[in-house]
Amino acid sequence: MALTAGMPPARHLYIHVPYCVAKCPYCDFNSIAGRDAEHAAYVTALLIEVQRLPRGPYDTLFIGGGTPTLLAPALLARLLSGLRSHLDLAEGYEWTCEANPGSSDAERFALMAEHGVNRLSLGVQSTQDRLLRFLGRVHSAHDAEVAIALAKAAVPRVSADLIMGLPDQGEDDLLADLALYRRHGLEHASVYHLTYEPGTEFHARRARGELADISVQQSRRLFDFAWDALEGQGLVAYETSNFARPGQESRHNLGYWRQRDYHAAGAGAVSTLEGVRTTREKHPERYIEGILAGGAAIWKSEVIGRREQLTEAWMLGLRLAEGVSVSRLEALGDQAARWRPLGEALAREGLVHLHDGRIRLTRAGRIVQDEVTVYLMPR
Amino acid sequence: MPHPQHLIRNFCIIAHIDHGKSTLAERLLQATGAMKERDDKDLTVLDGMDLERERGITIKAKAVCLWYKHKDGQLYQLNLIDTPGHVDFSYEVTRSLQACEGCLLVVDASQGVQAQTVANYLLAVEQNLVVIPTLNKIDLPSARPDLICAEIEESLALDSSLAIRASAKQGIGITEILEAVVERIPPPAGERGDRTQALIFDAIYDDYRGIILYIRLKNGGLHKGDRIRLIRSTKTYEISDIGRLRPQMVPAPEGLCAGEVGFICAAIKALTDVKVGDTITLEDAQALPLPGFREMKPMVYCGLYPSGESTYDQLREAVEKFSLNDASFRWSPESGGALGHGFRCGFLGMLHMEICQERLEREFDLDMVQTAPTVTYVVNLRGALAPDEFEKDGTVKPRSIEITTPGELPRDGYDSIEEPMVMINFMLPADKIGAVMQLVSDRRGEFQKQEYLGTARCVLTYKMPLAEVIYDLFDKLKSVTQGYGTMDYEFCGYQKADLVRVDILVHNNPCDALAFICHKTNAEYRGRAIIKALKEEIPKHLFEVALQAAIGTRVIARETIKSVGKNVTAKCYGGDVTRKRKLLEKQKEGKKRMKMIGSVEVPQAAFMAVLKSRSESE
Repeated sequence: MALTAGMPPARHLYIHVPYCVAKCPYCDFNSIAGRDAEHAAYVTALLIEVQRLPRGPYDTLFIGGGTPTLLAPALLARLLSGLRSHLDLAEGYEWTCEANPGSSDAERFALMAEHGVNRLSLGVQSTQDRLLRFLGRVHSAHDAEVAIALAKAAVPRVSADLIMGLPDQGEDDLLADLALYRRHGLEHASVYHLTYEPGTEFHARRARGELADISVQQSRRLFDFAWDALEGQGLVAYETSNFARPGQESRHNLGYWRQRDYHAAGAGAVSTLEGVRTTREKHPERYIEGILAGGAAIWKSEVIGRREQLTEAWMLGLRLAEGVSVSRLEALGDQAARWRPLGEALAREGLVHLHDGRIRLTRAGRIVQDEVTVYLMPR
Repeated sequence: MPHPQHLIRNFCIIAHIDHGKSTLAERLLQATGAMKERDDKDLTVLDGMDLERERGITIKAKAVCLWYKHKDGQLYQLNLIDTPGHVDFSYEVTRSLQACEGCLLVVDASQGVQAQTVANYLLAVEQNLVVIPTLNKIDLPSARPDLICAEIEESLALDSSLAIRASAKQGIGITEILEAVVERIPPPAGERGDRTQALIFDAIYDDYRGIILYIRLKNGGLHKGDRIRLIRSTKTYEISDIGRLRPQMVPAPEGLCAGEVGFICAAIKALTDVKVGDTITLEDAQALPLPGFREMKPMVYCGLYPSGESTYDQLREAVEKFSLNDASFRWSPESGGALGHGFRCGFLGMLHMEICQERLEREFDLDMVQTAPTVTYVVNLRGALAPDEFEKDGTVKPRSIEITTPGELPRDGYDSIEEPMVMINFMLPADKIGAVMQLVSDRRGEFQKQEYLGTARCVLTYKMPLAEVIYDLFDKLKSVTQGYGTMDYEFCGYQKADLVRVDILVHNNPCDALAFICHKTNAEYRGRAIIKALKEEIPKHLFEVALQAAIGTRVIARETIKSVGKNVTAKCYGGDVTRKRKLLEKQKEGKKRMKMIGSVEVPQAAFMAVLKSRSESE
């Protein structure tokens, strides 16, 4: 097809399914509640877009949301088999699918495994029912336990997401959450600190004074706590919020952080190819319309020039335990003469390490990651 | 037909700032038809530039030729030569005075004689000018003409019974002034048949006509097409245009003769080729130069650096263009470490510096950082450490160097430093004498004399270092005298002093732009003031920032900026990379006007605050 011709190859592909049972009050991802009648058309549009992509082979595939597991089993099967028939997967590929405990069952997980999904990422968020209610989640702690067990039975790799830093969350709560990984023998964890993102219900409630940020000291304590607990279980912080037994890191996400190119399909999905970052129409209705009309349903396109690439090299590289590579910075035009005195000042304060041609955040530096990044990055 | 010499009068107006010189000049123009009655616009003709009008200062002298029919029935050519009104331009003032035979000494009838009035009066007397005392603003309710007349008599030893009482604003006394100019000021001397001597008393750069010289013919004559020589600069040119200023340029096909004032254009490329005070003569019949020429030498230096949105190239272009119009402004490229690349600029004095800076900012729309002004020091090198004592040709190398920036001072290896001294006069209300004496002696002033003008006012004369004058003296004088004190100074040679260079270290990095030279006894105090100001302006960092003032390796003042109460920022979700990048870029943007000193981000405001710390100290 004409649209496929000339589209540059990339080793990663992201697929977005925007639907959720309910919009969580803290979530600012592209998600939308209800609209069940639209699901079938959406899957059709999605597969049309996927057909226009290069066949691959792809190293990683990631179906995120929203809630991909909200799709009815038959639709899910259509999506998975469609992907399978249009795309080639590389030897040793990683295919992740996000799932929410409230909408997961053995049937869907089995479908996934059958079509080649080999990694599930579960939005557990908390093991405490009162905190789950606070977060507006539709599942209970028990649902999460069941979902993890089912996922473990279906695919070789399972990750669970947690949120920390909730106003009413004690250290005991977090400890109980973190015990989840040991209990189920999970080898990957994502632990995010709650943020109040503009446009979310939590953000509005905070503005009204109904919610408040926890203290800086408490945030630091929770970070330390989580890091210690997870590293005690052999899960290493390979990224600011992500922990894994060595070898079990999310290769898909590492692709983003290492500034690799990636394709994408779906409403609001973002692809970055050869210096152009493209975001598709966010509303599924407009996305479907656009694709079915034969268009690309693009909402906006942005050129990521060398300057932007450089800023992102700092910003994304510092998130990783492996840090930013000096030669990568140089290749992007950022000479050591500019940043080295700054890096050394931070190194003296124990905020970064300069070693082996890389700059890495220390744990103390990780907590003030943005400030360090802004200080080190060029104008 | 040249105008008869006995029907020519050349005069100028000297006055303190705001005593109404420009308004009076305008009135004289109107009364003689050189200018229409004032329309709505508040325009003063002799002050061409916006900035001059706003500041009430005439920076560049110009001349106007007035045709005046006197009551004796004769038509007189009156050449009014405007003079700059500030101490920094006293050399230019003397050149303007040299072009005249008389002057109007304008004194504000309420404010009385000011330091500058005296200074300019003395210059006029030195040039043997006939002085016509004129009381201006006689119409104001606060005017005290009798008292001021007594003051003029006492302070200037001038017969005040001849003083004209005028109000330029109301048009009172204008005719009397014109009559006095004709009757009291002698016609110009000089021989029209002699070899040509013309004094250059000013020069300007005009975008359309290039360099325009303002001249006064002393002997002989000049005509279009003449081959002329500028004696001091040894350059020769051909006159392409010559004429009078009415005030617009009117060509004089008959040329200009001894006694007359006018302009010439001669395809001169650069203002630097013209020296105010130089003498023009004819190439094929050369005369001797006129006396009194002096090379104008900048006394005060500072660094100018681009900041904000402005770039080095923009600043360079502006400085180049600007120097076309101001021959006493000097500049050379300089690297200021933390401040990046900029220019070392020389000025005649503090006011000249401020005016230049403002004009650069305004006329070229530039953002600049200015470093602390410094004077030119003479450093006598120590024998043993002086570079090879002989030049290749066997002559002895100079053993002293002149430095215009603290960075040039050798850290060691000099015998002594000499600093420029000035003789300074303060004119102030008698009840402020104590405060001013205190102020001046704190700044190493040596008392010379004290004179009373009547009982209420007095003149104090001190000898003091120019460096102390430019540090903060004018602001301080204004504040301790509630604005009534005025000052005027004159360079009076170099003098050895116990001076030290104080380095300012930001997190152990010396910042050249903040280093300064001062007297040993002031070092600690001034170092502390700068460090305090820096502490206020430098934002908290992720680490503690040490600020130090040091003489050599000895730290004389120290402050610490505590590290920031760090924000936990490790909350990031995967999310939108572009949005996150833009957030970080915005944060970085907020730090845009920062300069790096080593690993410390210093906002440009800090450099300004350091300058300000002077006037706020004590």
